[in-house]
Amino acid sequence: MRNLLRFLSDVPTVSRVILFGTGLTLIVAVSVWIGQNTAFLLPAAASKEAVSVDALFQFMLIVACVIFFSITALIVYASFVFAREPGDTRDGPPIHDNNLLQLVWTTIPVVMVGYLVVYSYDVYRELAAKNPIDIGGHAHLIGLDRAFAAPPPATKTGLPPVVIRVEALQYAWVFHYPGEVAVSELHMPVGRDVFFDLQSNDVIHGFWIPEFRIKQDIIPGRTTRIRLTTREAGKYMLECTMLCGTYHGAMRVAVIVEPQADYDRWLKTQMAQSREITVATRLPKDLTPTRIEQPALRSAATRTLIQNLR
Amino acid sequence: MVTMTSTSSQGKTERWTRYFTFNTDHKVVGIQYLVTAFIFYLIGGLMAMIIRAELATPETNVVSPDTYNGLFTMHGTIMIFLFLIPAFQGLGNYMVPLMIGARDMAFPRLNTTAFWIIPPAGLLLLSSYFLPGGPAAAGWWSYPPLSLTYPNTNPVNGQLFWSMSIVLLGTSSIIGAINFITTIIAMRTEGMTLFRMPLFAWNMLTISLMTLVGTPVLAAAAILLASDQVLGTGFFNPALGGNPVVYQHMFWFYSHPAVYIMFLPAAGAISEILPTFSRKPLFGYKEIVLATIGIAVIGFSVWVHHMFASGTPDWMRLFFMFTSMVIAVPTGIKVFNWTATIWGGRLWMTTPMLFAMGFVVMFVLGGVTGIMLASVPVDIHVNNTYFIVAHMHYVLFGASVIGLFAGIYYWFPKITGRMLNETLGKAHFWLTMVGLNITFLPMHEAGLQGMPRRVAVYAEQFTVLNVIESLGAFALGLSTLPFLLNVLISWVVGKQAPADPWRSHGLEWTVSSPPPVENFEQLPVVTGTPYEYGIVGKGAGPDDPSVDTQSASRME
Repeated sequence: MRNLLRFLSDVPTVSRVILFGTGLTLIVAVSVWIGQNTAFLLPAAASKEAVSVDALFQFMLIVACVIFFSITALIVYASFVFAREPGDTRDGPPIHDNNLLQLVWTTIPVVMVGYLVVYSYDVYRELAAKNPIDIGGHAHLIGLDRAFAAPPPATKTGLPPVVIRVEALQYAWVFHYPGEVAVSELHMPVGRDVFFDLQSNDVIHGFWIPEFRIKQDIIPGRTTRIRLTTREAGKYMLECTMLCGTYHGAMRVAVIVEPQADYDRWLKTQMAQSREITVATRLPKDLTPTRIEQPALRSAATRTLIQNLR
Repeated sequence: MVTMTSTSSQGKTERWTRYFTFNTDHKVVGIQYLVTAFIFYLIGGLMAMIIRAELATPETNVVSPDTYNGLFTMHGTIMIFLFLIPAFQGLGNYMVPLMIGARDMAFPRLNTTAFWIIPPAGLLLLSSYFLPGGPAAAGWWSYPPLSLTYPNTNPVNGQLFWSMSIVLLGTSSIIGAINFITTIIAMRTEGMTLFRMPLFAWNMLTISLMTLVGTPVLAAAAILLASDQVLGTGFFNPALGGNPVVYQHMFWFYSHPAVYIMFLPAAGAISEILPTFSRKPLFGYKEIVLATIGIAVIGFSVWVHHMFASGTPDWMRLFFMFTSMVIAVPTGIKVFNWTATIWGGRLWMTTPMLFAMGFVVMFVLGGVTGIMLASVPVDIHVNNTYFIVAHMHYVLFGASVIGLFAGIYYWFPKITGRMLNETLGKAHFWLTMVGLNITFLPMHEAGLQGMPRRVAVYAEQFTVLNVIESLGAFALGLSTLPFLLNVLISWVVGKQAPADPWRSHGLEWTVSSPPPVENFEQLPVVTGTPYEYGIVGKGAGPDDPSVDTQSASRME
């Protein structure tokens, strides 16, 4: 304890106590303000999942800001207050360690990490209930819900989930809607559950719509299913996040979330067009984007669409 | 702490050509490593400048998309395997025997062998620019199946050269690691117990053990990848029934610990510099040592956080989320102890001290975003975006490179016998700090808002952020100039450095600058840690008979 007092001996005066108190209050206030004004950092939250992820991110941002600003303030303060006078060759006090301080600053990160793990786990439970990735089992060990294993439940509106099969290939996205519709633009009705069955034709691609806070690598040879609930109508962007070759950066398409009626109308038009295309085009032989051995493009509709895109 | 005599330098009579030979003196090998690494730093940095020039506009206009992919692949590979890792090997090579009171490394010939693998491996990597299709372009991760067909499907292409180069560089690392471990375990001088060892030596020991565990797995991954590519095997090729995710596990099993291999030596250098210029003992020596070992151990159980979006099962995501977050505890302990070391001292605001303090601040910034990335829900959003690019550069540039510079400014007088110029040094520091933050801070926002990494073209909405980043990057590029000038001029005509210009207490400061061949005429006997500042009889102020006040006030 005496050691600790010696260590803090530079802060005996009331003015310094006030300075540090004010400093810490200011840091916390600024951090909380930043954490609550993340509009410039985060894109719109267009899915239900995005809202919980954002709350978690905002909390972590506040914690991060408090830590960063505090350490920075201490270092900057020290560099002014403790800088030696020119020519002063004296040493500082020979303080080696302090058990109480070590205990305090070990406990702080332990508690912080403990809380963040629990908070993150809670948010993840919510996400995983919809998007379980259950290779090898163990679900019972980690306490996650397995709602997804059951048949797709109907949503509040009474409508079943929209199931969209997504094929990724160098360098395009193909979306298969029920009824043999293959298109290159992603449309979803607002307020509905949407299921994506993700498949890749060549290399690993990444499926990401920033406004939905959901990202999934698409590993060739597997079907990966993810699910989300749309929340806000609007025009967003689907991007490939895994380097997939020359034009990786250009592998972006529009995502349109629209009212149910608009969506139905759009789907009907596409159905009509798609039928014409399928009849009109013969399948070309060499469509593989790279020369490697790879699974053939999966469906006639895809090949037709690619042909038309080119 | 030391009883010994020092001799004057014999190095002066040696010819400069020894730097181009298989000289076995650890100090020659150390300089060979450092200079080679720095040349690769300039090459990798030039690539970064071209990358930022391309990204100044949303369209492709400076280089072709394939060239661009090659550039960031080579930038990452060079900066990690040919700059940061060899640079700290070099600093360690030079300093560790001096710091622990040894006359050389344990295996001098192995030492020169480990170094001489690096230039050919580096040239091999760079020579892939002359192959049809150009260099490897599948990112420094080289994930299959893309890396099996890109840049082209020739069996001999840039990707094969990449794999061969990685295997060579890995071999060099492993040889170096064996040498460091043996030296530090077996060749400490009398009284130099493990818990009196300087922190820099502790960190070199730790990363050498990590290298020994991790690097063989990376080398194996590179060999299997080359086999898939050239021999047509199907370890990772899904078209042949292979599993590309296995490669990811093997790659990150090494490559996450590699971050600590690049970070810990910098942290070790900081632990030498802060006490010296605060004139206070290192606060919590034992706790910092234990935290270092803790980081190394936990560091081997966090690699899957790079793969949270790779179709990783839930249980694995949660396990690795927990372990990745736990790393924050030993890391936090180190930061608090460094801050406490500075607190209440009498700070000499020299260039190495500025870099050391800058290191702490930048490392905290890189660390807090690291905690966010450990959290699965947040990581899923920012994974593979510019947020990662920002985080990783704060850790590897803001901490590792800044820490390396701190070490170079601190030990340059010892290595060359010349003082560096303080004005140029401070210009270097401030330009670097400003450039680095203008470059990397906006990247967090770009990533969160939706800009993926490794793209040559991007959505218009990110233009402003990218222009700022590019301007910052060019400032960062310019910041290298004062450093280059300083080193080149000072090495030749700089002020002569005394044996101990900073009144530091480590063993390396008890011998002449530069130290003679075989370092110590008589091996020193050690009675304490090298951080006993403020204790009378050990250089505590002007009344202390052991102080040379003249040399002390000359500095700064």
